[in-house]
Amino acid sequence: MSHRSLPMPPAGFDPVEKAADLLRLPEFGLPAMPDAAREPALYRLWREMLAAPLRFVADDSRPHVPKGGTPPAAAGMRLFSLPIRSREARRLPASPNWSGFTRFPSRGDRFSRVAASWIVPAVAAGAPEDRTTLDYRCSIWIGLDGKRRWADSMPQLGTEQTAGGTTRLWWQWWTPKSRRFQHYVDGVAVKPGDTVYCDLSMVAPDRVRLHFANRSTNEFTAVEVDGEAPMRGSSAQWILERPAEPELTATTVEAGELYPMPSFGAVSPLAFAARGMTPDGAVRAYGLDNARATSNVTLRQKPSRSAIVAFARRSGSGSGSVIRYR
Amino acid sequence: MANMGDMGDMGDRGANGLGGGAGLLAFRIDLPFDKEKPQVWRKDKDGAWGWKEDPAIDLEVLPPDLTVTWTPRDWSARWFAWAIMGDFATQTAWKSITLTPYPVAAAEVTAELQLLFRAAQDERPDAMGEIVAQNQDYEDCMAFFMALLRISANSHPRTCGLMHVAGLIGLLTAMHFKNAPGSQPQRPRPSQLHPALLPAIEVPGHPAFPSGHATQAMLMALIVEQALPAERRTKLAPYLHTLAGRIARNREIAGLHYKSDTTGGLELAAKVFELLGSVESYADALKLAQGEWA
Repeated sequence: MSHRSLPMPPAGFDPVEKAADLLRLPEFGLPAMPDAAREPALYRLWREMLAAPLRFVADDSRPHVPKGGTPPAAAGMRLFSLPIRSREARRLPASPNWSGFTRFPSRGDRFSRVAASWIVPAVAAGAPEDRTTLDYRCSIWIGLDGKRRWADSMPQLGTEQTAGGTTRLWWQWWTPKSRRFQHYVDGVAVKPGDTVYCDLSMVAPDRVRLHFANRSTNEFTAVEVDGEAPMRGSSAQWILERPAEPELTATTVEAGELYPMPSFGAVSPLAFAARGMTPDGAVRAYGLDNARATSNVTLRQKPSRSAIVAFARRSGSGSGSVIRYR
Repeated sequence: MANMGDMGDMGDRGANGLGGGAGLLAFRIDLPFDKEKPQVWRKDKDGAWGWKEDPAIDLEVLPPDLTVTWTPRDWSARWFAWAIMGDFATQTAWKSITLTPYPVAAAEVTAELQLLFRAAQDERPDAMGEIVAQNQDYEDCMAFFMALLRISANSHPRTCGLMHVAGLIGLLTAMHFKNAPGSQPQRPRPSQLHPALLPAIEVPGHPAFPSGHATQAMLMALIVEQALPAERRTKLAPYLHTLAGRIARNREIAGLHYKSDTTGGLELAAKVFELLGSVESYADALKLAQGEWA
C-alpha cells in the first residue's frame, strides 16, 4: 500500500481558535502548529491553511492512467540529453522540465517540512511551434529533494493545469525507478483563480503526510504516503513543471514525452516556508531568500534551437519570486 | 640590413627583492648609475631651463650623508612583522596556552564527520571560489580583510603590517599546538579517517587541530579591530569577526578541518591576542596603525 487516508476531523474542527482542537491535531495526522517566533512564515501558512471554516474531504487519490494505457516498453529516453543552444540558456540554470525556486540547506541542516500557497493560474495554449499530440500542460508543486543526483526520492504535491481547462490536485512520491504513477485527488475541486495551500511534512524518511487546502472553496484533504526509497531533505522547492507523459516499461515507470508548456502568464508563490532540522535536532526556518532560480528550456525544431519558455526570477522572498511565460 | 654595433647588454635586472616593495630596476652594466655625471636641471638668469653640471666627476664621489638613520618607515611591513613575532615568541609565555581538547569519542567524531559530508554535499560547489582564493598563505586571507575595509598597503601600510603580525604569529602558534596539542595526540585530518570526504584541494602537511586558518583569520580580525577608533570598531567588528568565521568554515567545507579544529583555532587566537598587548614592539606598531584611522 503506497498511501492511506487519514482520520477525518469532525465538522466545526478549528485548531486555530479552539485550544481543545489544537491538541487533537496528531489524532487526525494534521500538520503540527509551528512555533510563531521561530518559524513565523510557516506559522502564518499553517494558520491560513487551517483557519475555520473548513470542510474536510476524504482522500480519493487515484493513479494517473497514461495516454494509450500502459505501453509494454518505452521507446527510449530523450529527456535529459536536451541540448542547450542559446547563449542566454547557457548563462542560466536551466532545466528541460523544471522552472522555479529551489532552496538548499546550510550548516548541515536537512529539510523535514515545506509549505506554500499560490493562486492557481488560468492557462491557455502555448507557442504554436511547441504543439505536439499531447495537450499543453503544467504543474505547480512543492516538494523535498529531487534536485541533487544523490537525493532522487522526492515527495511532492500541487496543482496541475491544462490548456483544455482541466485543473486538478495531485501528489506523487517520485523515484527514478518507480512503478508508481502520480495520483490525482479529485474530491477537492480546483479551478483557476483559487488560492491553494500545500503542506508536506516528513513523518519518517520513507513516509510523508500531504495536506492541501483550497481556501477559495474552504475544502481540505490529506493523505499519508510511503516512499519506495528514503528521502534526504537536501532541497525544498516551489516549482512550475512541464511534466512528462509516463511510460511503463517492463519494470519501471519512465518519463516519456514532455508536455508542451502552456501560456500561464506570471505565477508567484504567495508564501513559502521550509523547516530545516539542524544536526542536533533544533528547528531552523528557511524561506526563498538565497533560493536558486531555474528556468525551463524547450527544444524547438526547424531550425533546431532552444528557447526559455518559463523564466524564473527571484527578487526577494515569497511573492517577490516570479516565473513568467515567454 | 646593415651591420650593427653591439646593441648593449640588457644588464642584470636585479633581484626582485622580497620585502621592500621595490619594483624591477634595470641596471646598465656599460654605464652604472654611479658613473653618471652629476647635474641638475635649472633655470638660468635669462629664464631658460638647462642642465647645470656639478664639478664632481661622477655621482660616486659625492659625499655620503652620514646623518641618515634607519627609521620605522624604512621597514617593510612584512619583515617588521617577523621582528614583532620574535619579540612575542621570547617575551610571552605563549607555549603555556592551554586549549580545550578536541573530541575523541566515536560518536562525537562521527557527528563531526557527518557535518563535513553535509557541507560537501550542500555547500562545497558554491564555496569553491573562496576556498581556492584563501588557500595558499595568510596573505590570501589578508586580501579579504583589506577588501572588506577598503584599504591597501599604500593607504594603510601600518594596518596591513598588523595583519602580517597576525598571520605570522597565527602560523607560529598554530603550528606549535598542532605539533604539541597538550595531552592529546596530533590530530589526523578528517579525510584520513574517511577518504570519501575527498577534499577539494590538497590536504596540508600538518595535523588538523587547531585550524591555522581559524587562528590567523580571527587574530587578524581582533588586531584590526583594536587598531580602529572606537566608533568604527563598534560598526566594523561584526564584519571582521564574521569574515574570520567564514574563512575558517570554508576550510571545513573543503573537507580539511573538523568543526572542533575551527573552535580550537578561535580559542588560540583569543589567547594569543591577550598576550600580544604586553609586547612593546607590538604596542608601538599598534599606535602607528591607529594613527592611520584617526
